Amino acid sequence: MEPLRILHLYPRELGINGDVGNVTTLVARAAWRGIPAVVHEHQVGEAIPEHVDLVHIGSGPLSAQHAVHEDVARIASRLVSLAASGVPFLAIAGGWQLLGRELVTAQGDRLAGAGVFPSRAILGAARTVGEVVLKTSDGIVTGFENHSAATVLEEGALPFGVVVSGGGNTPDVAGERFEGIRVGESVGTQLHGSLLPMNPVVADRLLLAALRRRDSGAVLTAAPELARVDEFAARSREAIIARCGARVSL
Amino acid sequence: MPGRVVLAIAPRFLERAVSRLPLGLVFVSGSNGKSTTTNMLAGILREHGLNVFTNPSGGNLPQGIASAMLASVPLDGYVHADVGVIEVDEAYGVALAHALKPQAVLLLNVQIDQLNRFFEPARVVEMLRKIGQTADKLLVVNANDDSLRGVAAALSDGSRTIASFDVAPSLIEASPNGLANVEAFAGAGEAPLAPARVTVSELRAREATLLVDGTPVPIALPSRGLHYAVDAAGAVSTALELLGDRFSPSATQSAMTTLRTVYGRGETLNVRGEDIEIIMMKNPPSLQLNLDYLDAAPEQVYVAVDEGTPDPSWIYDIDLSSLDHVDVVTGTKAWQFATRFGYSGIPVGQVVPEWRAALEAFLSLPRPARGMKTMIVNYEQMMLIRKHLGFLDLEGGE
Repeated sequence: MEPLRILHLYPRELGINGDVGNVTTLVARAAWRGIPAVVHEHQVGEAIPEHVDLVHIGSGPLSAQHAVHEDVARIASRLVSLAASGVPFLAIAGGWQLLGRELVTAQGDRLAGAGVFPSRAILGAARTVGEVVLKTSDGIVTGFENHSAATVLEEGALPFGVVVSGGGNTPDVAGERFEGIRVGESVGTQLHGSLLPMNPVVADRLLLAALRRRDSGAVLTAAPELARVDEFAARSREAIIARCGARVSL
Repeated sequence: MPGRVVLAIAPRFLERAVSRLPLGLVFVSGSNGKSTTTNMLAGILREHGLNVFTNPSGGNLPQGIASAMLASVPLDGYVHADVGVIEVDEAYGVALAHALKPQAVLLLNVQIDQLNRFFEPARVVEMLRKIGQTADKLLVVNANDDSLRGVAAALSDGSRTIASFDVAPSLIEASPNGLANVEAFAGAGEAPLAPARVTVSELRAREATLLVDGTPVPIALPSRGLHYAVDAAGAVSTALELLGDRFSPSATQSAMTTLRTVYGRGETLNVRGEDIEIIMMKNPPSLQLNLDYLDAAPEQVYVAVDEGTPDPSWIYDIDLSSLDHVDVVTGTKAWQFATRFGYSGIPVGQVVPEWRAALEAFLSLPRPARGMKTMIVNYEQMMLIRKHLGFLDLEGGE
């Protein structure tokens, strides 16, 4: 079988919160099902490979965002055409901000984004830090956020989830709040590197989208290794739900 | 609590208490190794005949430092010593440094640490720069740390001596995951640092050789690992500058041989007649280096992590290949750690979130055939375990 080709953007600069865990999870969940996967780590200045099945970009502080920003602009049109061709993206926090329309720093500097996601992030002084519980189309999702962004989605764009507990895209807003963004099978979110390990349904949806783009009849099988980590992950989510006092169950 | 009380009723107590130290104060700060290095530097200076005031390990917040002073100042309110060696928290250290005006500042490293509190390393670099700026006579930095080279460059205006220490390139290459210092993307600038006078040139288990002005000085380390040798180089480098001609390699060797391990940092506890090694996972770099320098995959492993580690996402950055299984995982974050071990193919014996039951289950395992039981725990779990097992010398001086 042709290996699944995962493009991991800027792992050196963007990955401050263990975001490589998302890639580890995708590779392992494919491998346990007998699907080989290869990870192409993209560094500043390099060419994007011809064949890409799935794209991941992790989180990082403003200094790291500045370090890669010029390169993001250089590869932006390629990323947009990958997204348009149905390649699923997972973009975390600072990486999501760079792949949105624009990032505005706390000092008011404007950095143009790659335009993969119809969202705009405005960084401020206040920080939102803590465990998060979301209701999403993939069920209850848990994670950890640590950011100073207010994120605005463009008209008609769908969030990744509804905040049950935590800050989300607009931590200051009273009432119903949303977290992240979902465009087709792609996800942008503030939740860090434990997102996919702790939320296997989200991981499998990305994997399936990547596989179905190549083979519309692709299915994901069960494997004994999956049952074990998925049990651990379910208990992790339950523990966070309990700590947040959220009135939801898995 | 006494430290907190004295700071509330006499906020200038600290400032006054240290104002008569003939050699002034030395501040030690950085992401990792503060307690260990402070302990080493205090020991080395004492062995040179100085009367040293210091704060107990981990007591690096203002109230901890005040508590330590209360225990040692007579009624006149002044610390009677030749020199003070104080470890300071990166964030609280800024205000403390302005109030207490250290003569010397030793900066160890900038590593990924407590992002839930510090948010990003650039903020820590700025804190350390502000602490370094208050050094009246001497600033000592780790030359292998990009960020600190930048700090030294920014502060080399001739108003103080700037010294540095480093590690031989061959030792860094041989370290499975390097030194784990943060990479400076913003171009820290090539700091015009003078060549380091102290270099770690060799490492053997719990021993290292330091080249001090080119002369080899073999020393004992409190525990395994390159990070302990780096801490020693920082302490020796600072002692060398402070003592000048009085610096004695043999006094330094003798001090390093008699040091106790600092509380929970590579420490061995004797529990029910059995030695148990405690590895504290203060943050990713310290865990990585402690794992990298294990003698072999431990036969019995306990992992305990609670809310003292609010976001354990970083465990996905850790190379766990030095472990081949884990016997017991506990703490409120137990399931997240079990998940991570699962994704590394590391078998997990039991997950027992309630830590007392977990500890009992682990301690009741038969003695390992080789080596010691190994506990990998976060700071908060280390404190609970020590107290529970009757080790009542609490850290932090309060």
